[in-house]
Amino acid sequence: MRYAHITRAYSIRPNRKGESHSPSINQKRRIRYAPTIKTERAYRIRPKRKKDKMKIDIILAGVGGQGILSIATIVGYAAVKRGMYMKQAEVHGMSQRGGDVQSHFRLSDHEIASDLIPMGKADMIISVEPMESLRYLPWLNPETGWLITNSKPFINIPNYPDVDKLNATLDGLKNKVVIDADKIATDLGSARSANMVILGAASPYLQLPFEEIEAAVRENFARKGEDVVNTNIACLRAGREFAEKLK
Amino acid sequence: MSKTLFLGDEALAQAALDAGLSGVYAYPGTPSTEITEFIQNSKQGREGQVHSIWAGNEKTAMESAIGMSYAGKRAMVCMKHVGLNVAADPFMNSSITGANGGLVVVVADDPSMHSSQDEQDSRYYGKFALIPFFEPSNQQEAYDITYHAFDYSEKYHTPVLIRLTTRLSHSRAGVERREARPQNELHIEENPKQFILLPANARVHYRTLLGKQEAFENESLNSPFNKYIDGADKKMGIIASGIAYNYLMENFENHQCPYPVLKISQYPLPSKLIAKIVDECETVLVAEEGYPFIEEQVRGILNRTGNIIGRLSGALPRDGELNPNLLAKALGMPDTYGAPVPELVVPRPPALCVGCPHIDSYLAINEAMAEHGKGKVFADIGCYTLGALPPYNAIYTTVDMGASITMAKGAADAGLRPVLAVIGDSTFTHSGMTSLLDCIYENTPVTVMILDNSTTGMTGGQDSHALGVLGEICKGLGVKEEHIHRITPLKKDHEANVKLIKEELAYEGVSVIIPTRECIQTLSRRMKKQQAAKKK
Ligand SMILES: Cc1ncc(C[n+]2csc(CCOP(=O)(O)OP(=O)(O)O)c2C)c(N)n1
Ligand code: SF4
Repeated sequence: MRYAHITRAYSIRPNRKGESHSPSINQKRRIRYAPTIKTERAYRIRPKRKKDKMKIDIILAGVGGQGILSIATIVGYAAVKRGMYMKQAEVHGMSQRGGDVQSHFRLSDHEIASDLIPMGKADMIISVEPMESLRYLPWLNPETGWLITNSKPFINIPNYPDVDKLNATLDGLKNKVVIDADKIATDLGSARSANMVILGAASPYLQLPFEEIEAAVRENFARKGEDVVNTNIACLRAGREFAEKLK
Repeated sequence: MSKTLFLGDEALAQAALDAGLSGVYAYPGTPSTEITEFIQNSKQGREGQVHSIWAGNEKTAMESAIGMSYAGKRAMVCMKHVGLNVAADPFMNSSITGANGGLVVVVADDPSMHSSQDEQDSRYYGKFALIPFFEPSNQQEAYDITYHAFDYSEKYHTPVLIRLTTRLSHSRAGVERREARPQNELHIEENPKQFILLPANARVHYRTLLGKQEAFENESLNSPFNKYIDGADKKMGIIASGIAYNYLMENFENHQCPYPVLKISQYPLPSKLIAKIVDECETVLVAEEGYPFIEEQVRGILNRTGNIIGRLSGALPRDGELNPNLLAKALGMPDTYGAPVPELVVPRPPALCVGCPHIDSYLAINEAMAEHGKGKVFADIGCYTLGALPPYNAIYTTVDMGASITMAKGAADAGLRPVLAVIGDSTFTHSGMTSLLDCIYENTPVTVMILDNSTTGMTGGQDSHALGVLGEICKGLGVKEEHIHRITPLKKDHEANVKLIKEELAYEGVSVIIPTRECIQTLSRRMKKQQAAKKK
């Protein structure tokens, strides 16, 4: 099953209230036919530490086949483990054949209404390709939003923009991390792990403890053996180090 | 109970399994494909021996499901919106026969046409068939509604329709499951006239169906999926259906809307609740994903009062998906926007994969057709539709599955020569075979190329029904053996392939050329699996 690892990994436990009472038949019926909103409230999931309202809205961008969804899987795992709500809208079908792909990825300690992030309100764009990162600027919060992108262009169209102009445009942005993730990943021995470098570069802005992201990376690659886990962790750390230096 | 992260499609599939499903019948189509795939890959499904093999097309799927319902078991049919056009005949008549075992029809609409040729709204089919239908607003509701829909279907002996839209089908969120219920025992429909739609029987059944309408509306009125949420400010009221409800609530702190809101996820429309919101509020905004289905009914074609606004009034766009920003604008709230897209950003359209067999087919077609001028290649729906884009610009039509052959026939009947039809192997078995039979019956001068990549590529590589037997099918239908050819779409065979296509184009009768080479995506998946198996 394509999503087997995700569905299995992401079990969320209800709060203690939901666990300790075994609902009466009547309650069961009420829950069964209650509108979703009520049901979700009844099983309200609390984050482990009580804090101010927290939300992270991320646009993930790239080209079909670049593996943007594994970034969502990993961050989602870490966040859901903390008991946060999550919604993730992704694109299937036509756009997967070398076309642009994007995913709206939302995390919050409160219930999330829309599957789509409103324009101008995303906290981050995380992109595995530089031109693709710019395509979603209308969604990024113009004051506080951060753009984290790979600098390595993926050129599969004849009219790809001039790379110098592209870099100049990225340079002109306020909050950004532009990183040659392909090079870093290749140097660390796994060209395919560029997306982990990107995730590392985004990690300082994610409001999640780095250890928890690391643990999620381990969990995600565990099936593939210790070597793969270690390379991916190395890529993650290299990306983070790069971004920390820019701060 | 714990929550599991599910796509909307997966939540629905899991609910069907938990509700005691015995069979899912479907033909793939974005965004509905993952429902059936989930059941195919589910341990629960395998252990329960739930039928989940793909059907040849949506019509055969619908009919098989009616058959399973007739035998007393719970059956589900899944398709994309245009699939219901194909299944419309059995679908409409299933409302007359009614259901014995629970019968749930799931249709995934694709507003904004992310991967479809239109954005038709399946709610019209639900109303057309006079059956109850649902429109979940989130993943949990997709689960709860589906679980409930089978009970509903059996309670009223009626098929039930569930409408999904792309953003729900393909968005993931935590879902809480319920206890799994066992499958039904086999029990054949007891009324011998129930499934025999002779006019005399059908008239009786139709009246029975009409008689159920009031009960259906009552169910909607008391449904937990429809909700009237009062608000202090009566200047505006909002009717929001399906996922439009989420886009609405996104705009309010803690999801508290100051205006009365009528959330609709179950139909037929509960007229009492509609009356309440229209009577209480000065203006009523109708927010719905798809066509202005509710808006048109509430305001009426005369639009006498003018206080019902939505897609028809221009408060919301007439076409395309909704989103939180469009709702904000319609409510007169400030719109938010980031920076504009820099000018240097160019579109990156999907393209045929590097090494795709269709590329070689199109290169040969373009060379063979060069001397005949433009406008004579009729194509169909699949990966090979991308042959419409540069650098190929090879095809001139794509309308609906199977239309390539019959449109070529119509053009040939009109006098166009030579005509070439291009159709995929899965599309051919879906609805190209009867088209070909029409040509054979009249010996129409058409050349049909069936691009055999051994799979249904477009939707992710499902098995193709005619694997290895396309030639035999064509021969059986009546194409002369000397005009059936298998070729290999490879660079080294290019010259020979062009020559053969030219020869068959010159033939004044039906010929079939079958370029045969596996889709490189399924090929590489197969190789990986083989390697993994070897390692073990
Ligand atoms: C009535 C209908 N059902 C389903 C679809 C979705 N769909 C589009 S193309 C396609 C299959 C294409 O397979 P094939 O003809 O083998 O071509 P390939 O993509 O493999 O080149 C499907 C299932 C549709 N567009 N219309
Ligand atoms: S998925 Fe297969 S059929 Fe479709 S473009 Fe790629 S190689 Fe060609």
